[in-house]
Amino acid sequence: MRTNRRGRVRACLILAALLGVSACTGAKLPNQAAGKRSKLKTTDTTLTPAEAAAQATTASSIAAAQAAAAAKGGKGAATQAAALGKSVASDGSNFHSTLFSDAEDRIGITNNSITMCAHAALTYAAAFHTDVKDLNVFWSWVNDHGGIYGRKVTVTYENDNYDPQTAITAASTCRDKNIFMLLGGIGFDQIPAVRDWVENLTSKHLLYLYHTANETTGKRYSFTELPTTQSMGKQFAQLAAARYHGQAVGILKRHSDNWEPGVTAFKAEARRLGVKIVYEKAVEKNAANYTQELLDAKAAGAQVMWGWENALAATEMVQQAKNQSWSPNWMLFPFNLTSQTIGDAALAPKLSGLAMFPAFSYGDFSGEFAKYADDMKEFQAQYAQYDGGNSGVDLHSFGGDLLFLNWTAQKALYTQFLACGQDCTRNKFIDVLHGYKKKPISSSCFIDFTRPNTHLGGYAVNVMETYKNPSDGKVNWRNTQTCVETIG
Amino acid sequence: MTWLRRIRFPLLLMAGATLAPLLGRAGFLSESKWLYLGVAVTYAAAALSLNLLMGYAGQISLGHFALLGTGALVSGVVTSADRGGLPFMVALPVCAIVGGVVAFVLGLPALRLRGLYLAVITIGFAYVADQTIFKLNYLSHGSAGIHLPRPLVNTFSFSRTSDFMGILCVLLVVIWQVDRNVTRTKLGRAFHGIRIDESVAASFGVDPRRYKLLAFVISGAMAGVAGSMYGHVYMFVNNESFGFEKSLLLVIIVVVGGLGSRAGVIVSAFFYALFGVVLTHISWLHIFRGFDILIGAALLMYTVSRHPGGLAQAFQESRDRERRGTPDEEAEEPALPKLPEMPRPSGLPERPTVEGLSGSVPVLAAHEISVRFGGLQAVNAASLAVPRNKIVGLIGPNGAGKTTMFNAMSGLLKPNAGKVELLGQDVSEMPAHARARLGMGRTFQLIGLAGDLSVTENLLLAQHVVASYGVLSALTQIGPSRSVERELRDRAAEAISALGFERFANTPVKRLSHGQQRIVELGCVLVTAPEVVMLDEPSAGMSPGAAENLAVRLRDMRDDLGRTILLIEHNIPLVLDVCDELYVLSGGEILAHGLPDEVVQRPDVIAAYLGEPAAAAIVEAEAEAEATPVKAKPAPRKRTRAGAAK
Amino acid sequence: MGQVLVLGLVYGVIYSLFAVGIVLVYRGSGTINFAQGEIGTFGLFVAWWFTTAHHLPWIIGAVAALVMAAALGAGFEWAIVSHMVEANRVSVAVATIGLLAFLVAFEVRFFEGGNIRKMVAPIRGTGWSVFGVVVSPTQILSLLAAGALAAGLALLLKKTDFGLGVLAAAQDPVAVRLVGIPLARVSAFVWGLGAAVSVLGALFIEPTIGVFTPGFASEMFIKGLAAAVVGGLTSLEGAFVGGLLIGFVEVGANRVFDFPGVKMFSILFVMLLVLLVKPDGLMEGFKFRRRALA
Repeated sequence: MRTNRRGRVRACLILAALLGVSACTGAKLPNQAAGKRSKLKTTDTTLTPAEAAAQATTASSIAAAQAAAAAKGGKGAATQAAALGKSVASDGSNFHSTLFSDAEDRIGITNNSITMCAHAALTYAAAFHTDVKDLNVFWSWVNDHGGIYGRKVTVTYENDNYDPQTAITAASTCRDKNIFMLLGGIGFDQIPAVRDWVENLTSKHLLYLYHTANETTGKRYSFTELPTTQSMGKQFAQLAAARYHGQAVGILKRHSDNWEPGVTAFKAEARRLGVKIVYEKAVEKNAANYTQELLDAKAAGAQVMWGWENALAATEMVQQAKNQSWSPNWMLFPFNLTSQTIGDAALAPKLSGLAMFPAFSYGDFSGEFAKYADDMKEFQAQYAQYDGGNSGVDLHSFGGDLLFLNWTAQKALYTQFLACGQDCTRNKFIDVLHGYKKKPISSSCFIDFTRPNTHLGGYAVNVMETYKNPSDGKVNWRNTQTCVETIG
Repeated sequence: MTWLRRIRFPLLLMAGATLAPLLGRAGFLSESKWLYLGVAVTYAAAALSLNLLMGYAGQISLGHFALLGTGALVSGVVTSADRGGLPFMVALPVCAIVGGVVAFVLGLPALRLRGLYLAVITIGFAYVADQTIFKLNYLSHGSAGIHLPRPLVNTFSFSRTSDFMGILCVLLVVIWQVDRNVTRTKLGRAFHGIRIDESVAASFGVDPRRYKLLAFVISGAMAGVAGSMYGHVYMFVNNESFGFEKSLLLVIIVVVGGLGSRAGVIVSAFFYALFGVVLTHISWLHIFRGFDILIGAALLMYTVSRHPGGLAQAFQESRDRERRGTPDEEAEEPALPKLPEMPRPSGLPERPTVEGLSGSVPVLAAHEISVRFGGLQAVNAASLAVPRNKIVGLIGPNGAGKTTMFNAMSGLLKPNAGKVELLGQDVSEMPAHARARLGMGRTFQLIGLAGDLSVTENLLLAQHVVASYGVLSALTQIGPSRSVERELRDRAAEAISALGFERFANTPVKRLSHGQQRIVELGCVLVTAPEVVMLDEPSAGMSPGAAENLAVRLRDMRDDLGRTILLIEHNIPLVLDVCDELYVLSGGEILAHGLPDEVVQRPDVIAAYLGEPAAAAIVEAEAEAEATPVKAKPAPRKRTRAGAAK
Repeated sequence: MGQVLVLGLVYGVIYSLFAVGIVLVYRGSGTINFAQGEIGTFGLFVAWWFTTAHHLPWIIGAVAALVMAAALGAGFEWAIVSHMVEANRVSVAVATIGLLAFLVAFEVRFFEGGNIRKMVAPIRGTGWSVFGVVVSPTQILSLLAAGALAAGLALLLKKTDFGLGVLAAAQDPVAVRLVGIPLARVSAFVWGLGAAVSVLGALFIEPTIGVFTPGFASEMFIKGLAAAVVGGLTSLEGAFVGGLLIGFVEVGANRVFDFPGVKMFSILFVMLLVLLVKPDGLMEGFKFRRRALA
């Protein structure tokens, strides 16, 4: 009840966000495992012009309605999305997935509905003002605006309690609902559990889109559109080299084989770039007390600290370093939770971060925010409409960025469904994902499933720093670079 | 038809084992529902394992899921394709052994001491398992976790959970049977005895440390198997899978279900495993989400403080009420029971053969015994000797140190100085249970019986020293355990009929009157035909008539059965009536020794008894205090703590 | 080395506070209150409500939290423990596990448990550097408070009849009754005081960690438990010595070794070692001398 409960709670903080992020995952080429590849073959088939036209037309009509609804938001990201759908469709894909048999291919999709299910830590969702209704605002809006080709979208959520075992039962419950695909929330502990379970099903297979996790081989049914831990570790090293050139780096990392690949990649890239690492120490989940490690890192001469831990641990690390009158340059996962909790102290010096999702700071559309300001406005408008009032969620506080990342992920998924077309099936959905090559999907970064030796579509990240939101005075994160693959 | 009632649960499970695959294939319940049920079965197995420890032996493990984790990860190593690649059925015994060994290692330091040390150590283990052990690359691929394949028989894989349910149910029945074998052999009785009172158990020859450790080891082995079931039903585990809160949930399950009740615990396990699911799946219950732990915790507190028997007892009581309508009528005193004449049973260690034993060497002798409690000198260089076939009395004012002397002689307490000899053999370094094996029987000031066990069961417990069969034989019911148990039962029946207690044979001892309990206690002491019988105030709480009967019984013991008796008594007429020799203890020192009639005439003895009114007042107050058993059993606690510290 | 000493002291004092609460309950009731740590966390929620949420001074929040904890501890004694006088002590420990689970679930369900909260420190300011470790004013205050608590408890327990009653309650209830001290009062007192001391520990350690969530004090409570066991579970002196020892062991082992879970591992190791070698705790001999004098 003690640590684990605490861990759960900590994780929950991030989890609300997950739901959506999970959706922002993408298709991956089935893996290299011998004998499995045969399921998937490459053909020359592209979408027929008729199909593409049909999609484009429908998408446009939806977009028109959407644009009207989102009139305040100017052009409306929906238009953009429709355009994207069109362009992807006409691009076509060289892949023709046969992963799912005919019987399995159309599970979860009918003429008037698409059913999906996500596993996420809902136990404490109510605790931080986040409820299932907050997570489904985007889909409510979509359904009120014609759905996807007339299909209403239903996404249900099963509680995984931030526990691998519960996650498996949650996934199993999802599967029994005859869903089109299973979405996986944040959770380095649950995702491998569910991934293993999905891959070892012997019948009634699932299409599983999950949030960031370490890169593994041997996957057939599970896909992610987000950068792996390996990829992010490498990018953090690039960030250190670019932003803190010549400064010595200290690493405080989670002791976990799910996190360690990121550190390995970081070190390799650091060596290549000439970044000096003077301290490295693994800490336990929820260790809560990092003072000794911080003092050691300081003594070792670290000027930059990389906190390869979750948001709560990172918050504690920064706070405890400040208690020791030490303010190194921090590189972290950028959550407003951390910056708002630490407050103004998080500006001296500014914290740095890397994330697979865009920054969100309520009502600020300047600078890098301008690149996806339409999305932010649309997001704020939808929440005002569907989730406003007293019972609504406060987007100023640290639920805001989590819900925004959830929203962008859902929107990306929506866009992919548009591209998948009128007669979308699971196999076609995979084909669509393969059609995206380095194309941004609304405010989510681009995906690319065409690279060899991976089942991953995500490579790009947003580079962030802390700043003070001029409108409400909260210390939040903002992008300094949006959707880059290599930081330099 | 009682056999049917007893076997009902296993039957139900066997039916489940057969029906589950059929129902599953017929499309009854979806796969995820079967998964929930499968998980519930593994929780039931885990709860049985913890119940053995908590319900029977009265010890508590707060890291029980870490033991399950050990089983699951070992099972993973044994069965997973990239390591062992061996069948599930091979993994099970390995898991049982590893679980038992881990429990042994944890229990060894913790169970040397009385108290809550096992709870503390197991919490520590839960943390260390999660943070260190379960992250070992070999066990779990670090924290990445391992896949545990479902069993494969020829080409048939148990990938459907409903099919696997068959195996799970059979395993649960096996665990149930092992558990049942524990309860109907000396193991269960010894565990029970330890839980009620370690000192009493030790006086019957049960080594409390050994049996506490044994309970934890058996529980650990069961947990190992349950862990394997747990791992294979989910097919995946990592170091996060066995969190502390699951261990706490298991405690809740066992307590609410009813400590010591197999069926109650299983029902409770199913309830808790499925409760949360029901809450989330019935839409109008949504508002209660997150309440499952809240309700469970409140229920736990309520149950443990108001209905310690849990669900099982509540059902039992309502059933009893229905059947009888009224509570038992006050049991009648049996007319003048005879004490059983029991030959020395086989299976006892050789008696020490000392030349001239029957003559000059006393059966029991204490030399210069001194006991200090902190600053208080309770017994100071006291010596006494009990010759064969005599009744020796030990009297003295309250607080004189009589019971302390008794405890030092029977081994419940280690004296600071002095020597105890039994049949001429120095037993000073022996713990109480070893002295009991050599033939030292004793009773206690407060009745030394297991109150909620029946008369028969108490007599069986009393024969612990002669139940000479091994643990494995007890657990499997293969080998000598059955025949030995039959002998013990015959002997108990014989004793009961000698006592004239046939109609109370299956009555829990606590329902008998005080005088009856004393008789049963004597029967328990005599049933193994000990060399010397040490009686601590046997007449306390008896009516004058009953005390007279007691005198007759004691003389019978000496004259007809040829027993040797050391007697602590306050009832001076009784002492004068039966004793051959008398010792007077005052202020921890032997004040007088000699023939009873002479000794009680001595002025210093009279002064010791009557000279101090304050002392008399305290005697009264303490006697009154003891009449109401409000306290955490102070005396036994002191005794064993000191005894265990050796 | 200096760093190990300073940090070991700073954390060890907090573990001592938890250990003292455990020993009090053990002396008075013969059992362990496993919910004690979580009562500390619960106190933080109360203190937070007064200070951070309603901007009242620290001391008001702290007093409110202490009063609440004392009431909760004594209330639990009244509602549950007092009905279990005849029960096995293990059963009482099981009841406290119920309270632990209840409190965590309650905080999570009704106090927006997932939120990260931040308590204010009793004294602001950075602090002073000792052996390269910045020691905050709160940490100094926690040292002083622990010292004051030790002195106060020593006075209360060793010099007053009631205190002697507390010390003897579990071992010799008859004697306690004979000197005219109602056992029920002793029991309620130790449960309340034990809970309040936990809140003190939680209030003092929170600024060091920075934030708190449900379950915050529980891991520290486990270390306090280890400290109490090392000290013999019945000795107040042992609780303080054990707390400091556990603090030094934790920090020292973390310095010397580098493997996963080194802190908990070393603490469990030391605890097992003490149980094997000196089962009655490190302070055994000392304790006996003291009693001989009394």
